[in-house]
Amino acid sequence: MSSPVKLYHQEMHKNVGYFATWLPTSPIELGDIGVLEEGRFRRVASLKELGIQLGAIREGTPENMSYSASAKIGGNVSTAAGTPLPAAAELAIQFMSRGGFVFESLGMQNVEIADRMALAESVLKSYEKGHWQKNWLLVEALYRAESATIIVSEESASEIVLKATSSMPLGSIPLADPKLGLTVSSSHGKLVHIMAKDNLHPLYSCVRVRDSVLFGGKSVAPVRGAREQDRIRSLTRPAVEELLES
Amino acid sequence: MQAYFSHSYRDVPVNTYFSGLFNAAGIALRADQKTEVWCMAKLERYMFEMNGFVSIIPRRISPDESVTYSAYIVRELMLARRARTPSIVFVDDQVLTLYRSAFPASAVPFFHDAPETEQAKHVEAITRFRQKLADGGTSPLRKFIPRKATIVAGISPLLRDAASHVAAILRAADYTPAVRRISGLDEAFDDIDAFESLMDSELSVFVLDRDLSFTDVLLSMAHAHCVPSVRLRYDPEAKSLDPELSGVVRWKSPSELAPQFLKLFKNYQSVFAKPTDEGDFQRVATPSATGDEWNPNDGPTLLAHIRPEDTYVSDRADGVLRGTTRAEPSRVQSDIVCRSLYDRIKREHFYYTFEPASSKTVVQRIRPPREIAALHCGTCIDLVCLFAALMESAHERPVVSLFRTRDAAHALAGYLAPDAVTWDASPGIGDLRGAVNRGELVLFEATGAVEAHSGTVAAETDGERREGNKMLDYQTAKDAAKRFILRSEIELWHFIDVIRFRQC
Repeated sequence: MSSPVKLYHQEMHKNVGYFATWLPTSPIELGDIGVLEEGRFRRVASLKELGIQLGAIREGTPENMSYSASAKIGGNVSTAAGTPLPAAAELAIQFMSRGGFVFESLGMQNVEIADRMALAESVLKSYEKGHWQKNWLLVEALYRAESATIIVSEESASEIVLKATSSMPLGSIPLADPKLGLTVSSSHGKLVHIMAKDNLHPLYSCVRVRDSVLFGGKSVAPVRGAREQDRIRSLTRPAVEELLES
Repeated sequence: MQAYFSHSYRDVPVNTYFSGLFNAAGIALRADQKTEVWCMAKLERYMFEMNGFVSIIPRRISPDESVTYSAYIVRELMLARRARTPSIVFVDDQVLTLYRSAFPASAVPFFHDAPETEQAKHVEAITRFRQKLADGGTSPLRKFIPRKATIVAGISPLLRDAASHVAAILRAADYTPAVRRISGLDEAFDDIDAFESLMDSELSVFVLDRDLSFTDVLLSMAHAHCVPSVRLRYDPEAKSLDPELSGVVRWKSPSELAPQFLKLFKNYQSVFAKPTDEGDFQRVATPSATGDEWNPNDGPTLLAHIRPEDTYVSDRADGVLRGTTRAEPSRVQSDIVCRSLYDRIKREHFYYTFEPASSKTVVQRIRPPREIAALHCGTCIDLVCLFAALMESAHERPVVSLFRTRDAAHALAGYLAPDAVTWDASPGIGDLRGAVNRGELVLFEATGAVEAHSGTVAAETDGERREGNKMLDYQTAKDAAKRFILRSEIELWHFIDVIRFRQC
């Protein structure tokens, strides 16, 4: 099996460099340990459960994000981020391919484990004790959204019509803004839609232990005294293709 | 009506402005193609072959922020005055106020950022200059015998053999050289045959001793008359073999003499360019094909152009590390080192230029660090390789990122933070964006450390360049790189993790 919404995963990774959480409302936290299955992160454990402290957390500056692909929004075909929406009481969005999506979020903030050197050290010790499985991935950074609207088509042709319950016309403020009171007026086709939901973790990034460490690979390095950061090189990042084909 | 155009290569907008005024007045400008060779003999030759001399003297901001000017342009002005070539001189108003006595009384001021403010006065001065040339006030004709050369040498066996070697080179180039050896003061002052030989030669070559000698007396006569002269001075303790501002080129042993002389002789024989528009001025300011070839389709081979062992690089990296408090590897520490290296290069006041022209369409020439320093300029890829070498020399983890769009390509410099987790496979554009968002990968606009004289280079704004006096501060260079990498139309072409690639 592979991801049912490849385009969504590909485009979000291309735009932000993080994996898209699928389903977007699935709980995912820093320090979660898991594997990739059918485009999802399936949690199997956490650092805490292995007795490893997360340590300090580093937070980035909040920013708004807006991306879409293979979506015709109110008559405008959208393939790039930030397409302005027409002001109207109702807004129809048509999707032309599987994985076509609209992603709008407010207050997106990168949150990550700050001391990666210590993290690498702890993970490798856990591996050496036989507590760490070689296919495990560790979530070490994610994006937290103050509010997000995410609509993803799971079919090659689908449509959704959105309606604002507030007096504000659609298009005047971002779709992720809860002030719109966004609801679904109608839809056809298989769609996943999240309307102005708060405190989502829609994007994450993860690391794993590098194969060369798992299989006892050795490397030659200049002698410059003990270098703590050499431990960080025992970790690697999975490519997005791994998520797509999981 | 032709005039020699003495100008600073880097100030393209100012040059374009004045060139337009001279074109409108019917005066064709001739300019010297930028090379790393300062050839006085060529300039002396052209002082007599042009009808007039046009000098544009912009300001330079020195590392301590004081206003100064190029010694080379003023040297050219001095040659024109010595040759009694009719001249017109435009000088930056701040320079003129500070150094009034260095320029002729007729010098005309201009404001560097908006020279057109005083366009009416400039046009009036050019009209007067044109009238002067039209009334017969052009350069006095220099009478000489084409391809005749006079070589004046000291009397020691070393200088005698050196003079013979120079004569052989000239004969091979179809010149007719005569060697004259000066052994006494009276001979130097009174040998009228030697003096006349100098005056009617197309070219003179002086093979000088380490200390001042009688030969220097004849050199001073040639110098006073602006006779095209090559000055070769024997100096076993020479620290540099580059041509000096005075035109002297030093040589330490007979084996160095021929290449030193040939370098100047080749330049002397080259012709002047005829720039008219901004593109022409960019080309004149772009040194001709030098540097080493690189095939842009073969990204990893760029490693060969990243030279941490180059002494220009290691000297500057060592200097920065000496001035930096060493601490445990961290993001902050790496940023301090990178910022210091960036600011160090910024102080050199290099400028951004195009790549050297090449007849081979599939290769690009990359200027090595020493050449960037010698020519005072570089492309984005030259500068990215320079910064990668500096970062590597400073024991950081440099990266080189090359991007392309449908019709252009651009390179960014950067480094991986000490706690960066990288990829097993080659990263894609999304991977780089993620690494930048996590702060694991720091990219910066390498051309921000040099002056861009034709607006912007990549994703920086006009305002940012203006604010930075044609350069960018380090933070702005990072912001510009981040903006660039977020552009939807770019495609990642090559990403080179220098340390990792070297280990492979």
